[in-house]
Order: sequence, then C-alpha cells, then structure tokens
Amino acid sequence: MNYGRNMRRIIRIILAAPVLGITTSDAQTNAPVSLEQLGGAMARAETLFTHFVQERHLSLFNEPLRSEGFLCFQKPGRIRWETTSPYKSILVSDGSGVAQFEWADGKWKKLEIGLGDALQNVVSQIAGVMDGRFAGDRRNYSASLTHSSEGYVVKLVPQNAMVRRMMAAIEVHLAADLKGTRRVVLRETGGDFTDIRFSEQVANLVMPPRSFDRTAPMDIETIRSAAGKGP
Amino acid sequence: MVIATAGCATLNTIAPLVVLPADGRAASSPGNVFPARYRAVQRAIVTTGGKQFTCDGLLTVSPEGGHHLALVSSFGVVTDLRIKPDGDLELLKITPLFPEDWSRNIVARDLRCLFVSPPKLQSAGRLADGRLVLESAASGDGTVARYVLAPDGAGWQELELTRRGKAFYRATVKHHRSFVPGAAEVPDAFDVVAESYRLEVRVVALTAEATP
Repeated sequence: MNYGRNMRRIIRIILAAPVLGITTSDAQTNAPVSLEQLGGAMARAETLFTHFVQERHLSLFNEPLRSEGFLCFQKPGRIRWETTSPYKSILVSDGSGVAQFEWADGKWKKLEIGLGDALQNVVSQIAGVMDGRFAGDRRNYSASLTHSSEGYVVKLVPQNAMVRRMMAAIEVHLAADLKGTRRVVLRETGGDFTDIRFSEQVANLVMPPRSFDRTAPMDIETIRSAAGKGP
Repeated sequence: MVIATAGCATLNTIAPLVVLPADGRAASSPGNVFPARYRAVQRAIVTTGGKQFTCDGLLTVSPEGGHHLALVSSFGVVTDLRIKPDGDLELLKITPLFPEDWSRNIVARDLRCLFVSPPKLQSAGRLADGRLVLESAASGDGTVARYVLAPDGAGWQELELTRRGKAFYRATVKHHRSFVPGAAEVPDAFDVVAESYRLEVRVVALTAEATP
C-alpha cells in the first residue's frame, strides 16, 4: 500500500472540506435551481471577506472545540484562512504557493510547512469552489441539492471508499440569494462533525495590498476595515 | 499524520543534565499545579524532518476520568486517548491519519510529562546554577525522569528523561499564566525536544470546572 500517496489524497480532500465543498458529480436536485446555476451565481464575486466560527464536535467530549476568524478570497485562487481565537494562525495562498504563520511570543512566526504541495492543491480546490466552479469536476463526490425556507443545501458524499472511512458527507448551506455560504458541516464517519458558520460576508471589496502575501501578510484589521467591518 | 508525511526525521541530540551533589537543601516532589478538574485548549507546532505541522489539543481532566486528550489537525481528528487515574493508557480513537504506536509512545508520553502530576521523586542533586534536581525511580525499561526545580523548590522548570545515562527527551516550561484573575499561575507554554521531533505547546484556554 502506498501509505504516503493515500494519505495525501485524504488530506487534500479533508483539508478542503472545512472551508467549502469541493467538487460534485451525479448531481441530483429537488431544488428550483441546478448546481450549475448555483455555481454561476456564486462566480459573480471577485473577492470575498467573511467571519467564521468553527466548532469541532467530538463525540467523546461534552463541549466542542471552538475557534473563529476570517476567510478572505480573491480571484483567481487567492485564499486566506485566519484564526483569531483562541489562538492566532494564518494559512494563506497567493495563488502560486501557500504559507502558514503562527502568532507566538508576541510576533508572527512563519512555519516551514510540511505537505506544502498538498496544501497548495487544497487551497487551489477551495479557490475553485469560491470561483463558483461547483460542478466542474464530477469525479470525487456525488451531490444532491435541496431547498428549504432557509436556502439551499448541497450535500456532497465522497465517492472514494477510503475517504468515506473518515468523512461521511459535507453539507454546504447557501444563502437564499445564492450569493454567500452560510454554513458548512463536515460529517465524519463515526459521529464527529465540524460546523463552520459564516457571517459578516462582504463581496467585491478591494483587498488591501499584501492581503495574500506569503512573506508578510497584511494584518487582518486592515482588511476588516477595507470590508467596512473594522472596529 | 504529521510525522508519517514528513519523510525521514533526523535525530535530535540532547545533552544530559550535569547534576552536582546535593548541597543539603530539602526539596519535595512538585505537586499538581493545575486544577483538579479543568478543560484546556492547546495549540501545538510539531517539527520533524525539518518540516512543521500544527494541531489543536482538547484536554479534559478530572479525578475520576483522568486526562482525556484529543488532537485535531486541519485534516481531522488525529488521535483521542485517555490516561486513566491509575496511570493506564486507553486509546479511544485510532484514525487512519496517525498510527496507533505514535499515539501510545509519543502523544501519551508528552501528555504524561507535561500535564500529569510528577511521580514520587527523590533528591538527585543540583545544577551549577543552583537549581534543584529530583528524579524518579527507574521504570521497567530503565527510564529515569529528572525534574529541575527552581532554587526555592517551587514548581518544575525542566524535565529530562534518560535511559542508561543517555538523555532522549527534554521538556522546558517556557511561561506561566493565570487563566482566571486571582488564581494561581500554571504553565502555559512548553518546549519539548525528543529523539525525532520538537514540540511547542501552548495552552490557549483553560477553564477550571466545579465538582459535579
């Protein structure tokens, strides 16, 4: 068994999942729009800024592991996932590479990240989703689209049996106007799940310089101010 | 996960402590500095093979449940284990991301060393800088734990594991912090150097819990 290669395959998919679903196949829908229409509506945003609250619900613990922060996106493929509480961490891609920073001892420390190629692949896939290319790749997931009073929900089920050993499904909850992602739920096999809720979404803001810089990224407060969400 | 994908890890060299004879000062085993019942969130950076990986730790501690730790990476739950009050290890969740023996031999060891009360210790001497050294009895495989205490004997500052005179693990308390105003400070940052990895752990949240 090629442990490393399989590991990387899992990692690529799982790391992408908490941010958004990835790709879809065999689309089924009971909703008045198709996945392609949905992707087209989401593709209209050139940039996106949103606050997130992530809760990892572990079946053996009474309380979830909670974190929060901000997600920034800019076409084509620039992503910044910044955790601000209970610790500070930045995962950022400028579209050609990825970097990670940790706040410790009063300063940002750039990590010599492992799995850099896998992380870049993941970020690229996330960017593809943020671009609205929701139904572009029809290999990795089966997808169903449902509609309720609260909006649309895309449910993605991994096609690969090995991936399904860890991850049962991903639910992507979309705003009723299809212009934003309200929530992503990653359901692991065995009952654990990660629930990410997005709020304060701002589309098409002008991102400040170095927002996606892999050497010295702009501080998040400046980006928040640009999004009109600053203190 | 973190180590499996890192390729071959180089071995770290750990110089053993140079312990001088005791100078007559009395020292007792450092007690448990953490609350009897608490929940803590940790952030860790692991360095191995020249590459760094991050993960979160969720730790719950109680007299009846022992130390229950789950490690969660960006890729999902890495491992979930518990050191029971009697000291036995229980692996609660084994995932494809992390081989069982790493949970058993690496994660559990770090948990025991950093967050579980030290065993009964005896005086081993002092360091040249005046700090006191206490050590445990040798375990079944010959491992001896040496704790370095402040000159006044309060709290441990460093921990070294040795086997047949060779040091293979060193933990250093980097910082203390009080998570509740007025409450005693507890260690909230550790550096670990072990055979094939380095570990930086920060306690980023800690909540003492009442007895149910």
